[in-house]
Amino acid sequence: MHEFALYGQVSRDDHHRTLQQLAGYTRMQPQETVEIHLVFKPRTPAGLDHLPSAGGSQGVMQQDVQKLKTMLNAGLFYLQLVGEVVPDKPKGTENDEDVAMSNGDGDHAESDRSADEKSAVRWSLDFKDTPEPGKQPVSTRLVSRISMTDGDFVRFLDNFGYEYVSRYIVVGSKFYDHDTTLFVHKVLRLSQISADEAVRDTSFLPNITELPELDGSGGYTIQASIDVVDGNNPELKERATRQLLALKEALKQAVDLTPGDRLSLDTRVPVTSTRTQ
Amino acid sequence: MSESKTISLLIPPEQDSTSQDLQVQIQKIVAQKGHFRHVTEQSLLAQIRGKAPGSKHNDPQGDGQVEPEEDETPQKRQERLWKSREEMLERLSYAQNEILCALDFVSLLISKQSVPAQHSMSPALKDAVPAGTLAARVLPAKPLSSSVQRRLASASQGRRLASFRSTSIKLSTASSRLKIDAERETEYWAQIADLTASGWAVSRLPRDSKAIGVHFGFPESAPQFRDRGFALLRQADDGAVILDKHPIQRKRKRLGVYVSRNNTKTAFFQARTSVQKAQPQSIGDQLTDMRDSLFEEELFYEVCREARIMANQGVTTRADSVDLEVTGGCQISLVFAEQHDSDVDATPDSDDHIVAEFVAVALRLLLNAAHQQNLVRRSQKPPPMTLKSRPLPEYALIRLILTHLRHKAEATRFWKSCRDLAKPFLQAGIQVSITPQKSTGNLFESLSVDHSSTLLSEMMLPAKAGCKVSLTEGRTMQVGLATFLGPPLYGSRYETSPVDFGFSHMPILRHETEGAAVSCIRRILLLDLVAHVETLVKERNIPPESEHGPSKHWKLAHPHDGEFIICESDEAVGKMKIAVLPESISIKWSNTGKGSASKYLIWTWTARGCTKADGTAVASQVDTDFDQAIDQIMKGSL
Repeated sequence: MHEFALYGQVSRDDHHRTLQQLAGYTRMQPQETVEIHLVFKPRTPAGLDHLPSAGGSQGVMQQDVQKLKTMLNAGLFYLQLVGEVVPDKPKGTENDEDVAMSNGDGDHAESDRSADEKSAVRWSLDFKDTPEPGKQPVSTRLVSRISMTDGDFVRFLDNFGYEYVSRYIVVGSKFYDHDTTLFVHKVLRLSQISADEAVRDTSFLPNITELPELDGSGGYTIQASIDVVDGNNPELKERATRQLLALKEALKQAVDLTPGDRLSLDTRVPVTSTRTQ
Repeated sequence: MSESKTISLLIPPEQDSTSQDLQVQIQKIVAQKGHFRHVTEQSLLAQIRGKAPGSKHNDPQGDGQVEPEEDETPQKRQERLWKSREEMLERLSYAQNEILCALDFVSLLISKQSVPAQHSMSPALKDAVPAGTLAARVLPAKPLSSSVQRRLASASQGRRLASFRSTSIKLSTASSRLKIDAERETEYWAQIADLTASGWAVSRLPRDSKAIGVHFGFPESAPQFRDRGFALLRQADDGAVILDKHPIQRKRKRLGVYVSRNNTKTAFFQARTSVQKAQPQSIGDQLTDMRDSLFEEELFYEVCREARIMANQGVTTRADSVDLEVTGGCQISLVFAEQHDSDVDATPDSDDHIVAEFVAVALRLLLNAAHQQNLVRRSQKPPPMTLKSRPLPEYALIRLILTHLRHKAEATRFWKSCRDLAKPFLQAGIQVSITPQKSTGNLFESLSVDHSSTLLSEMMLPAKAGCKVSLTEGRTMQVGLATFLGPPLYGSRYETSPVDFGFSHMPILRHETEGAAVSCIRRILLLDLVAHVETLVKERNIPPESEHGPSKHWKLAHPHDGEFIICESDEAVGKMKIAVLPESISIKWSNTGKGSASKYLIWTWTARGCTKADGTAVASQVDTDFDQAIDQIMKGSL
């Protein structure tokens, strides 16, 4: 599956207005979304440090070593375990009413109440590639989303060679228009705890408003994305790009949507050598 | 930051009228007193001496000039003074330049006659022009004749008058045009405000900022209908709002519902007949009309779309009608036409009118529910984009209606059969009854159809009905009936709850037809009767052996056939058979003993009464009930 995306920024003051505009544009109420993200990092292959590092006079030897090194290091990507907090049923029916388009405080109050009852979390394993290189009108990257329903996720990932690094939470509102998902969100920081607890811990959900923001200005990021079954298919690629660019044009007055910076969307583990000489 | 945001409503003070600018002051003086060249010493002296107002008039101005100076710091004052001085010097040098130019000119002019004038010429002029090259001559003024003067005066006056007149005409036409325009605009916007107030959504077009349109369609209908639900509002000559012409001229078609039995139309229902008025309708009425006809059109379109996939269930599609086969003989036609033929052969006591109304109203409500479901679906994450376009699924409209109509017909038939079954039991005085029951809780647990929580979610579920069969000895049984025209049922199904009779246990049973279900109930009733008789027999069998040595006793032989035998020292001498028939129950007793002649006795209970057939004689015995009959048989046989 491929993801075509455009990104933009919404300042704190503009947030409510943007939500209103998007609600009008997509003819639907915003869908409040809370996602817990657990970041997992792959362990570097054990023997990597034993390879001779760069330098030295044997140029021929070095080429082979370099090749081997890139082969071993390639495909080391961060993985994320994303847990979507499923809103409770009564909240869903409330959204049908016209007054559901409330401001930020009201939304949080709703999520407060829903979290008091037992909130369910839907986990999925997310892999995102680095966006494709080259100057392109929209960011394209390979993504994979596997829903995880049962089992010990941490042990599973551990056996796969991934270890837990940290966690954070993403809150925001989603809109859907045809195939496009518009997600206005911001990142909140969570206290760091051990991996096993992180999967089970939902104690912070009742007071989401009190969590510290990653971006101190309180700004939001807007992501317009289309998931495509096969992004290499030229027809689908063209259709998705066209749809996103049309959206960009339509929302030109409200928010500036641009392809993301490729390097800042990089999900690879940086190649580092722990061995010091 | 906060200060910069607030906008002060104070009007900024006007610039000081007593401007310090020398040029302005000079101009003021010129305006008040005339040119400086008219100022003579005498006039000034006269002014000082006699004309007080002039001098007084000057004083306050002077005061005004002084007053602000008092507020100033000495440094500022000095600066201002220096500035004024510089300005004054500049002016003076300018004036000097002018004067020298004038002197040059005059000198050049008179240099021809007077030599000393040549000396007053500037050297630059002397170089440029030789002296005495300019001469002057005074031309005598030629007096115009009075007639010419008069003519000229009247011509100029007439000219001025004509121009005034034309200007006044132009101005008055402009003002009247503006007035009409203002009225038009007022009228237009007032009407648009009325439209908004009465609930229509009025908006501008993103592409054409001048055009204004009104949304009268349904935002969640299929795209081809959603896009048509918008009309531009134009302005008529008198300012009234009119709708764009072309959507109005569509033909108004409506969906009418006919119910026919045995090819005779028995009922008709139409949502609301619009009265075609001769006089122009109001804009709101026009919009309502357009909305209704759009809705009707969409409804018929969706009904046709659904009818195509339901062709296997007795639904026929024609160009402008869809026929639904409810049950044998009963048919519902949905006809989409401009004019409906509303005369039908109505039978007074039938509820076909209610059926027609139900179908018409339910179809419209279901389409609204489908719209609501569309919104719910749209508010969920879309699946990834694929090459195949995702078709809009057919709405469940006539499926649900047919489900309920067929369910009703099925339930009516079933209930009638059940009542027929129960009547003989009532006559026979056996405590067996069949009563309808609202919900059959534990039946059809397997039948779960997922549905979204919309307005009419009750109607999306399979239609269910049930009845409770109370048997003797406190035994009860539930019978459920469910109808659904989709997977997994595709029709009707019956379920009966388990019953235990001691000698026989009936598990949960499922039946596909009404006949099978009724015969199953009959069977259960038979088993119940057998169980009932068995308990009676046990009571009677207690005192047998004490006096009459080898005794006779009754024994249950074939419970499923309802057969008891009477044994005399392990030999069957008589047999009693109980049967439950569709409209009657009977006991047949026969003597199969070896010695005596065979003898038959048949008791029969129907809904009307009881008959006893003894050999060849048939007697009607109204008051005998089942238990008494059993007693008699047992007494006679024992």
